Amino acid sequence: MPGIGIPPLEDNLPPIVKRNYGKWISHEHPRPGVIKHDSESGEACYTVRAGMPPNARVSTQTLRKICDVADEFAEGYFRVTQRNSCEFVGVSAKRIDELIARLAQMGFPVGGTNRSLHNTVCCTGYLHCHLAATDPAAIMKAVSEMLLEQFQNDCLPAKLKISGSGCINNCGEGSTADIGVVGVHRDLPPIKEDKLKGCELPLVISVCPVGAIRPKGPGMVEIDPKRCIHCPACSVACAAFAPIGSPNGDGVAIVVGGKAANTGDGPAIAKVVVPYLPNNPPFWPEVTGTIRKIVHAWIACARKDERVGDWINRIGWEKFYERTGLPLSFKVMDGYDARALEYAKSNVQFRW
Amino acid sequence: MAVITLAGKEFEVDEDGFLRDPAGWNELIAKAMGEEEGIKELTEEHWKVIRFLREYYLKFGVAPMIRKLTKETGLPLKHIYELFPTGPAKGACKLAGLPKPTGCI
Amino acid sequence: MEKIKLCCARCGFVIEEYNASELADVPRKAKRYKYLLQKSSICPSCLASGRLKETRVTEEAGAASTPPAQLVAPKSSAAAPEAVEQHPDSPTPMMDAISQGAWPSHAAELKKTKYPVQMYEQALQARATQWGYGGYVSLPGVAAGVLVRASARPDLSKGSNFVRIMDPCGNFFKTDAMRKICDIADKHAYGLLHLLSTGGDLEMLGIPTDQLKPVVDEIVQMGFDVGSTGDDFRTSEECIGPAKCDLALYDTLGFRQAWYKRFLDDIQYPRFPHKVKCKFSGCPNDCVRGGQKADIFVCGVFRDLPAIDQKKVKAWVRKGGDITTVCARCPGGCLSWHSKTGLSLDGDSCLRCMYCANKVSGVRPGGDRGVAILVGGKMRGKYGPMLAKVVVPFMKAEPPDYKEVFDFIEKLMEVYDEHARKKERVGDFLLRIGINEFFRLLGAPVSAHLFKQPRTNLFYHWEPEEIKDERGPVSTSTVKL
Repeated sequence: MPGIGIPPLEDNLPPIVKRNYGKWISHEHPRPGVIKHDSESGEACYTVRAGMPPNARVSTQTLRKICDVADEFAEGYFRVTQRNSCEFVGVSAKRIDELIARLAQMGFPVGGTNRSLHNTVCCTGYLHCHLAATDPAAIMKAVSEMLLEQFQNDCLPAKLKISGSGCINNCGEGSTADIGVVGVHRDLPPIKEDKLKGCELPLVISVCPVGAIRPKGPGMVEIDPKRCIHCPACSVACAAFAPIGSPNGDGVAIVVGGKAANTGDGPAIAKVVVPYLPNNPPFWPEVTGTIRKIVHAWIACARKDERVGDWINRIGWEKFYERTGLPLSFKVMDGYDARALEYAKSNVQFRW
Repeated sequence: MAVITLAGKEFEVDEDGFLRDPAGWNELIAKAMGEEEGIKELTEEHWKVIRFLREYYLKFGVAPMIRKLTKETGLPLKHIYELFPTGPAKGACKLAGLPKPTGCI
Repeated sequence: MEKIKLCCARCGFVIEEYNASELADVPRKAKRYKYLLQKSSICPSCLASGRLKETRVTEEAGAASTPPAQLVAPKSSAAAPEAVEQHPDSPTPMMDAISQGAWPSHAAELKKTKYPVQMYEQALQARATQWGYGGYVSLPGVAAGVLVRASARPDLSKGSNFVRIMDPCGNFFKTDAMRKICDIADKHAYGLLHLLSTGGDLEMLGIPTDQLKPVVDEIVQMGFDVGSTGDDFRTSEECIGPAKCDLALYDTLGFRQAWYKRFLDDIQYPRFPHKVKCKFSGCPNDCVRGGQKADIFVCGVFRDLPAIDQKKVKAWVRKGGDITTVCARCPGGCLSWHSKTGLSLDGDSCLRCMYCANKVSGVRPGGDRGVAILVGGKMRGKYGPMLAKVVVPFMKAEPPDYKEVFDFIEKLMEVYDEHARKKERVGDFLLRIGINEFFRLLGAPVSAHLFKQPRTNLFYHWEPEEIKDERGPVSTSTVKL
């Protein structure tokens, strides 16, 4: 291995950051998409944040144009945030309008800060992945399109993070977000007997979360169709169990309430509220329709600074389903999980 | 899918050069694959690794974890990379006729 | 067969659909139908509110149900997969539909590169991915960093390799460096970059196998490196920390830089039971989402109370700062505001969650700062998503070597490496052996900071050695009264 690791810290830091490293003392949100930090030294740093194509997927053509903008407005540096938006750090206060106009001209909306829809995160999906049950990039494009106003304005009760995963491997982190879209398969995997010899069968048997794969004679296994939860674990472990999924079987689940921050009710993994919606390219109206229902119910009755998960904790699942109008189903309770029964309620603290 | 012929016998390999039927392995195959991987000569240390992998796989049906490999052969990981430039999983396992290691997830 | 559809009166979006026979035979559906007819609904597609419109249609049995009305999105209007606004003969109608609209489109970006667009287009049309299983690539001298995607449609494209470049700290890029990366991508690959994967890497796609070595060489020449595939430490991600944030409780960038120096071998030579993802957040806001998805999560924390500058807070409130909401939403309920005395904080209830520091100008996190180490978060593993669990509630993070933290993590990795099974994530390992056994192996001290709550079930296994009578051996021979 080359043994370099990462370049030295100073190489890629803009001058304003180097001058004030560790000396920042306050932050403000003067307008949507712009963050201001003040330093002990008295210097102020303005950051302008722009939305990026889903999956942070850019051509070199576009990247070079972004580099040109960075050269002109940000001393030749830019950065990518943890939600894949593009930030120009150290923009002069007098030139912010000009930069926003220039970015708009290039097709990049500015926003995604403070109490807005933040840039969406998703995984590769149909672009490059053999396990995808859906295409989260196209779904996130449709969602960002639908909620463009909420991205460009500081107007929501609290910040809103929406992420999409292509399958339940969750590389796209759907389960971390306030509202997540997670692709699901519903078919049994095949068993291609001629490929089994090239597999480590004990490994395949052990990766199945529900123990649905059992040995059936030397060098052969069988799948219990009643237990299989159609996750791609066996397909990942061995090509004999691939490909999994079918156009009519595959779809998406909608999850809500994920949160990383320790504010409010603390960190949480998102909960499944709609177990299945069909894939309907190119716009996935069932998915965007469901997300719109959730977002509008949240806007209508959440308190200020109440993230989606905290909002649901306060009003309860009864009111959540009532106000969003989402269909009810027992399929959101059980799942193959050692803690399954904990999803059933044990107190009589009902809301009517 | 291809076929390699060694000492008058035919062996099927998959598109990446891994033995299709791990049971049909022998030392000549290891030598031939080694040459393909750019290993000019298989020293005693090479054979130590190959034999350990082979025995473990025949006993347990899976390739051993790296920690086990380095402990049992007494060879540190970096040294194994020197012996097999493509590494223990992709290089040594191939020469030992073990199954292809799985993807990135 | 007669179909009854309840649609939005404005845009026609079908909200519910029934067969005539269903309404006649299934009382539950009939009830819902009557209810929907009477109430005012909000259309999920165009947001119009009002009573729904009913249409009755006779369809052949087995005919496809009405394709859903499209989203009211600016400029896009494709109603069915084959129909396209401007180019009826386009070979990529789906991608054209996705390329329209105000939000930047990845489909439009794909078209500007050498990416085989039909792979994506046909996946959207067929609703199934066109990429395939199998495929394998190895580059001598590069133990981690190259990966392959096989193609299930050799008529459209053969598989392609990609490299994962490990991002510089803070994900800051000098434009010179980014332009060089673009040059490499244009020369050897599709010209398409995945700017930041959820694993924290910059991925360069579409490199033919014989070009892999030149690509890696050129990347190394410009001072970057590849890695993050296989069962090693994946690229660690950190928050922007003291580079730009006033809330950072330790130097996340410096920490990551030191991490790469200390653990470079474990990052570039896979040897663990399964991949280990490490994330470093500067404060409990956890902008990197480490608590939800990291096997090892190092989170900046402070032990004392937030520092309040009453003058600044009062000035902020005078300018319109919403102190009422902040006091109401403090999770510990410890804040109260009085215009004369200012902001007061009940230390007993403070959770050190950063909310007041986030929102109120003049409130800063406390000065007794260190890191907490949480372990076992994952998005999938074997048993599904899991939050990371606290293993060390507080430890000092001393630059430049961070020796105490790194030594502890090394010990943790030894326990994991020695006892976990093949392809078992840290979180699954914790689930299997239990917290008790894990802490016994690790040797970390107990504290109430580790408990969400003590157990409720009374089943517990005691080892024989743990049973001893402190009073001494009981003898049956003579008992003096």
